[in-house]
Amino acid sequence: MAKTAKGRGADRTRERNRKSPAQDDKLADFDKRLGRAKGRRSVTPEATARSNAMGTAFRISSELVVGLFVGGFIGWQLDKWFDTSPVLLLLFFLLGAAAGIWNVIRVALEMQSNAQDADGASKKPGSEPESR
Amino acid sequence: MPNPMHQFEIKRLINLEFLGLDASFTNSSLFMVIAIGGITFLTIWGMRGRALVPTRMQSVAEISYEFVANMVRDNVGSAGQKYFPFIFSLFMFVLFCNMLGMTPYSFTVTSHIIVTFALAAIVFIGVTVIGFAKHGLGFLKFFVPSGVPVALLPLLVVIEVISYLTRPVSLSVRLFANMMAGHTMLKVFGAFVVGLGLIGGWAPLAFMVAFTGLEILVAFLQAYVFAILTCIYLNDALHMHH
Amino acid sequence: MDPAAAKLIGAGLASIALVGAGIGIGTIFGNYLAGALRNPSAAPGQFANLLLGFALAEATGLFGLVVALIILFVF
Repeated sequence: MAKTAKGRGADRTRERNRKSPAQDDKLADFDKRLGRAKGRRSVTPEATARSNAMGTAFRISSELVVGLFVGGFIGWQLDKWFDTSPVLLLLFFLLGAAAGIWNVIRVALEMQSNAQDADGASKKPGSEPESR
Repeated sequence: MPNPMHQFEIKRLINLEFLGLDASFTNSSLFMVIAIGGITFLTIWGMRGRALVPTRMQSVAEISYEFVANMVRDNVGSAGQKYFPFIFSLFMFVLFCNMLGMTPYSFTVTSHIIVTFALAAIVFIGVTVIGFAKHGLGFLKFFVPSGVPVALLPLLVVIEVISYLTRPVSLSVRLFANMMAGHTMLKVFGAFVVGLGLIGGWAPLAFMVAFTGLEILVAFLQAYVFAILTCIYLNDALHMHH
Repeated sequence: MDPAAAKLIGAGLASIALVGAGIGIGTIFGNYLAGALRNPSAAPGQFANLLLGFALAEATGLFGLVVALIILFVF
């Protein structure tokens, strides 16, 4: 059966990709340079973990405070709209505080489950789990 | 002592008007244009060579692409791949604006609440619209936590809605507060260095060096937190489980 | 004393209650960390108690803040 155009094209690609000795040398040289460059890398996994923790810290602190403010703001606007005494302001301030604390708890639970996944995945018997 | 708040003043460079509103080209707009120019230069000129073993600039462009692509894939999954251009633009814009602010005599675009709030509002409204577009009115089930006694349900739904509404505010206030506080501290300690002169200026100068390093880290970290929270909110909208 | 000024001073004094919240949260997380460093395998089991303690400590501080708001807006 004669080869289709696609079959002939695949043959030509295979011809091009077959490594010549010169290409083998170039790839080996590339491997060596890559190894040397990787050794010079300054981003350690410890530094990544520390910056991840710092990012989570920023996130948690702002979520707690903003919950209060958003709750208070909503309460204040509803008060002005319904013309009630500041009872709605206080009520929504408390709800906003609850929402802020709920957000913090959610982030903490997520962090906890990530840490447990990481421990399960590493499977090193002697290592201690990261305490965050 | 010079006023540390002067660095945040908006100065009009070219006076323009649009339908009666002030649409002047300000120093804020100038630095936004510089940031966009920098990003465009990095990505387009850097990838010009398309070498297999990348040059330095190509390597930076590839690393930033890969960084954001991994972030999107890890946090949103395969459904989020089509939102990658938006998240990449968002991350690079915030990163470049923050970093440009670290150069002397520059203006930090993201130190104004209106800029960060505009970005956060785009993310919030976009993600909510995506949620409604994908799930229809079933998206409202996102606010109803599972496994809860029916009596407590109204209270919990109100708390869930409020905690959802805190998202754009916390996104914008986090970035704004960090940038503004950081740059104000830099200016204040800079004034100390000049004020204490040759005799006593070395202590604040040493602190300034360390603090500038910290500010560069915070600039990168705030851009990263902004982008990763966008990915998390997008994931919440696309795959509706808490 | 001018009642408006008294309100503001009263609200400021009531906000000092947040010091208690700060100390409480710091104590609870510090004790959790101390325990977790001594007995890491038991730490995940106590995580729920940690969050409960944090929420309660924060809540008492926020009560003080609510009193400050009441002073400012109700009287």
